[in-house]
Amino acid sequence: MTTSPITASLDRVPDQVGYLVMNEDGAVMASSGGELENDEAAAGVIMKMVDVALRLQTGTDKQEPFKRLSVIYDEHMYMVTISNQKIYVSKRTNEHHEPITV
Amino acid sequence: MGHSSCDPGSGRTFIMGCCFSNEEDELLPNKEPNERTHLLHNPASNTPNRPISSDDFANHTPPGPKGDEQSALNRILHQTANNVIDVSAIDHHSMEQHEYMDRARQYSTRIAIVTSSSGGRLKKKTPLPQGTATPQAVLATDPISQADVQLMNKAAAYAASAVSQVRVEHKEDLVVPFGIP
Repeated sequence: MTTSPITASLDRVPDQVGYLVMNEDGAVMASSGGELENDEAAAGVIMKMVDVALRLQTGTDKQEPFKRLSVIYDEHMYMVTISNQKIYVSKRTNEHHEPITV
Repeated sequence: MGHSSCDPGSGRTFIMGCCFSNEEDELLPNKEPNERTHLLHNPASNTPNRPISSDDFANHTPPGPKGDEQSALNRILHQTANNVIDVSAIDHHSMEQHEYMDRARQYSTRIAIVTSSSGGRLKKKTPLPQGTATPQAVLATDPISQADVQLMNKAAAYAASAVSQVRVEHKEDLVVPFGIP
């Protein structure tokens, strides 16, 4: 497995328990690891989320896509971003998981 | 005998139509059914422009004293005929070859218009933007603050509660009588 500089630096994301990179078709590329290693199911769900999020219009500038998509649970969270026609996903533990009061 | 099938309880329009055509049959007694006569000639009777011929029902059994039995049999026949839809008797609009071609052309142009106006979104999902140059840095930055998460949760809860309180308020009758004299 060839390790590009970017995926090598993905390992250094703090509190990370897994990561994956997929192409624009949602296929998991050779770079994935930890809890997300070859996790096609998670990749499919995240791909749909990305597709929906890209359709959102922020109002000020239609062309501006999101910078980072955060899916936050009490215990952990998924961080998603796009770079060079690839989708980067990082699963991190949620440090501050005190109960959320509504 | 034709009138006997119009007994109370069978006042459906189809039966009435058959009664009428039975009177016609009495006027034309030379129409004798043979083995090639269709038993259910025009069963669905949903083509009022065609004459309803139910002579087959009535004439192929001799009128006799067994009137009640006969009318009962007729009723069964009528009911069966009502349930049969003769496709060949409904509409004889046959399409010509050029009509098919015209419609095919018309439909394909419509489809082309729809797909071009929607910007090809029907076929392909949103293309990915260029995005950031340093994905690892974006992923490594601190998550959004807990206060922001709580704010969003609160706002979503407010919105949900507001939506759940939407009620239809009855003001006036929806059904209004027309001014029929």
